[in-house]
Amino acid sequence: MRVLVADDDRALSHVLCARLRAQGWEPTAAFDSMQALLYAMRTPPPDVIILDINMPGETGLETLKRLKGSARTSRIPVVVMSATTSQHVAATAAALGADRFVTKPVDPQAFSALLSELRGTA
Amino acid sequence: MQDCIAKPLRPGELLGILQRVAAAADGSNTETSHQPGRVPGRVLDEAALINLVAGDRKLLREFIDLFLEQSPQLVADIGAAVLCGDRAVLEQQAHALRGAAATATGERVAAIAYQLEAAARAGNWADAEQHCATLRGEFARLRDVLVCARVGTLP
Repeated sequence: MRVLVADDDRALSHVLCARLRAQGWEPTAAFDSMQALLYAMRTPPPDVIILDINMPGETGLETLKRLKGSARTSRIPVVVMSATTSQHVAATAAALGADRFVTKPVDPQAFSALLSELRGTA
Repeated sequence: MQDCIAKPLRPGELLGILQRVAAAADGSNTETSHQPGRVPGRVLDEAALINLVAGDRKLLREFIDLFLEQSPQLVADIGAAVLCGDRAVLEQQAHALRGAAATATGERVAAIAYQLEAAARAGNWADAEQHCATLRGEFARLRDVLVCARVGTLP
């Protein structure tokens, strides 16, 4: 199963991709919003997208809005992650169609379980 | 150099290395415990860091290399934003550093980055300057611990 990891924190992205790969996922990393959108539009598309809110270019929330607004990507589950604990940000992400909101630091082990769960509901 | 260990490493020794270098860094900070601006938390949560990479030494080295490659620029950007009075850049880069430091289990750097974010939002430049000075010290401490950990994991 393909997963797009969109985060400009290359250290976290590297670990997340390595851990997910070890658990059978096929991760692709994107380091800014434009790259994330391009990868999401690819054929075949990712099965799940992990999207950081704070990235160069558009914010993750703007990227989320584009993903959920496009017929090509609207059905792909999106996990939004952020260092913020703001309920307002989490609520905004949910309103824009985020399937889950997770707060950094993230637990890669728990992430795999979460992605599997989303894959089942995709 | 805060710790030295003979190679080859034995299984389980990785956590021991991290615990020793982190404890040494924490100890060095007790001298400043009565000074204003002391940051709560640990320099490094070594067990959580091991958990992050599932005990994989190679992955830990790669993670540390990437963290040390990108985070100093964030600290520099924060310093420049405070100097220039740029609230947007300060908030954005402090937020980015908070996330990166939290992932690296650097509790103190994450905490001070959070305080910098708050100072940026409030436009409180006096607090921002003080936190920025504290950040430089705490980041240097975290960097030293991670460099030690990286050397300790070499095959």
